[in-house]
Amino acid sequence: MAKSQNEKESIITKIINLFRNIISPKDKLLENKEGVDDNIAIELKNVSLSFKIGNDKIDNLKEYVIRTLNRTKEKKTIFKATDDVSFKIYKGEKVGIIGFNGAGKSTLLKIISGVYTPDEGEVIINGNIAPLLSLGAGFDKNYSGRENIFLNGAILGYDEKFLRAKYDEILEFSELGEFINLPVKNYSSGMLSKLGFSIATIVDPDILILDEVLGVGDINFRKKSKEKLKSLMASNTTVLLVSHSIEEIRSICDKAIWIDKGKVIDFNEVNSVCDKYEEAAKNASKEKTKKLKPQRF
Amino acid sequence: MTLELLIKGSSENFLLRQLIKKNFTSKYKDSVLGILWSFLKPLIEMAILTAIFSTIFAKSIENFPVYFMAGRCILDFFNVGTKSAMTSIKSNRSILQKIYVPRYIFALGNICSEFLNFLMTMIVMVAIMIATKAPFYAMSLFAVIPLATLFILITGVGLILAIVCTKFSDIEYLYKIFTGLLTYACAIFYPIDIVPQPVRGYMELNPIYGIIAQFREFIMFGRFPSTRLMLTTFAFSVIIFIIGVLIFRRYQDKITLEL
Repeated sequence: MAKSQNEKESIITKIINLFRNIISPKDKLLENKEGVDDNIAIELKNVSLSFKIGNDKIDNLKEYVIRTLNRTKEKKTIFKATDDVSFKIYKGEKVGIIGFNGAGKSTLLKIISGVYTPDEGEVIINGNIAPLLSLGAGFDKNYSGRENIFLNGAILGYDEKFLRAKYDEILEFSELGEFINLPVKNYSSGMLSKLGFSIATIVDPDILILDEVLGVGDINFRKKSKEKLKSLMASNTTVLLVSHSIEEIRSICDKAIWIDKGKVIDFNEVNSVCDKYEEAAKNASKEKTKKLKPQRF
Repeated sequence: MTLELLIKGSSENFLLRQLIKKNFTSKYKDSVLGILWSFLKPLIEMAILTAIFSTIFAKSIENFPVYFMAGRCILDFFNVGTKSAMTSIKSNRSILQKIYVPRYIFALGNICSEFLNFLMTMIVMVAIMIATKAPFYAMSLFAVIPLATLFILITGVGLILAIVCTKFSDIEYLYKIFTGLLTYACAIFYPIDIVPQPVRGYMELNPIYGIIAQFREFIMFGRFPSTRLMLTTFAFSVIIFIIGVLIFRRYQDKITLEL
């Protein structure tokens, strides 16, 4: 009986696997293409991505039909968030991404982690990625902390065996203790982010992607989480870090990419890029403060 | 070490299982009756409709409660399954905008958890069969054929709607009207014989009616329905499924920008 159950399950699994291969044939998370230089961790070739933006976005069929009939469809403005970006990041390199607000830094990270697919160009990823872009994605408020570890872990792409093996470690790091058996709707926001952080950082990734260095929770946990991140960034891990703190970039990274209006302005050794960036920022802010000066009447 | 553990296939199947479990538990979390509600709702509907219609159609429908339940459960699975697949991408936007998760998995997970609900209503149907002393046939096991066809059809329709619904939000309301009409077009609570001929011919082209008719033949009479009906229904479902997969594949990477 048990055996036939197993066989049945494997048939269902086979069907699901077949379906998966048909519907999402690209193996994005573990992309190992042959013929690529083994030392490269991330390579972008002429990657472009544009958003369509308009003043009034048509998001329903009724309006779409009416506007098409009346010919009052507004021409959409195309906003290039990433414009012909190419670079290579080698294994073990720590690269910072800097730029002003709205320069396209986060979009770039999302392209690399696979959330957005570029309109043109190619993204090659060599190794497994841990994008720490959001903590606790998909938490179910009625689920206990324990159940959410498995749910959130599954969303992050971990498998069951791995999560079972690491469960105690996650629980210990999150410092939740007895609370782990309560529904997360009773958690404080600090506890939620502690749990999310512990799940997200349990992996040992080849490539770590960070949008600002996350410090979560209270003073103690903040210190602990920063140390955990530091250990994740150790020797062989490739790190891609977006930050507005130039000091942080200088201390963590050894290279930096400066992005403005979706284009790579400079990609070089960290201090030279940061110096240029700060120079540009100073000029820009001077101009802005000039405008802001109170006018006398 | 961890790299080997993060094999794609097994982790995605694990995610699918987690999502099904989540949908299933969250559905009953807020209701007092809990899982009982799934049994109660079809029972109440059946009781009312049996009280009203069973004497009118006594000549052509032998066992009205079972006749009704078979149709009602299948139609309900279709309605709820496609609807939950339709909203699957929109309602998980907070995840899809931040992490790469295969898009199809939310649609498939929702359909699977509705399938589990459907299986529970099947228990109600078997209970009614026992209560009304309806005969059981070995041939009834072939009823998995229409059910598999139904699953294929729902997946196809669900995938199409999931994409369209992210683009046009009012599709949800339009679809609600459509499913409402479908209730009357599928011969759920009346015999198909009462429909005059030209209209009846068109009704039989409806794949959901086809599935219901097949299912009733297998369950209530233990005999094979006409081959023509089975083939047309199956072919139609497969075509919809292929269209759904093609549309989904074409647009799945673009919809994260529109969310």
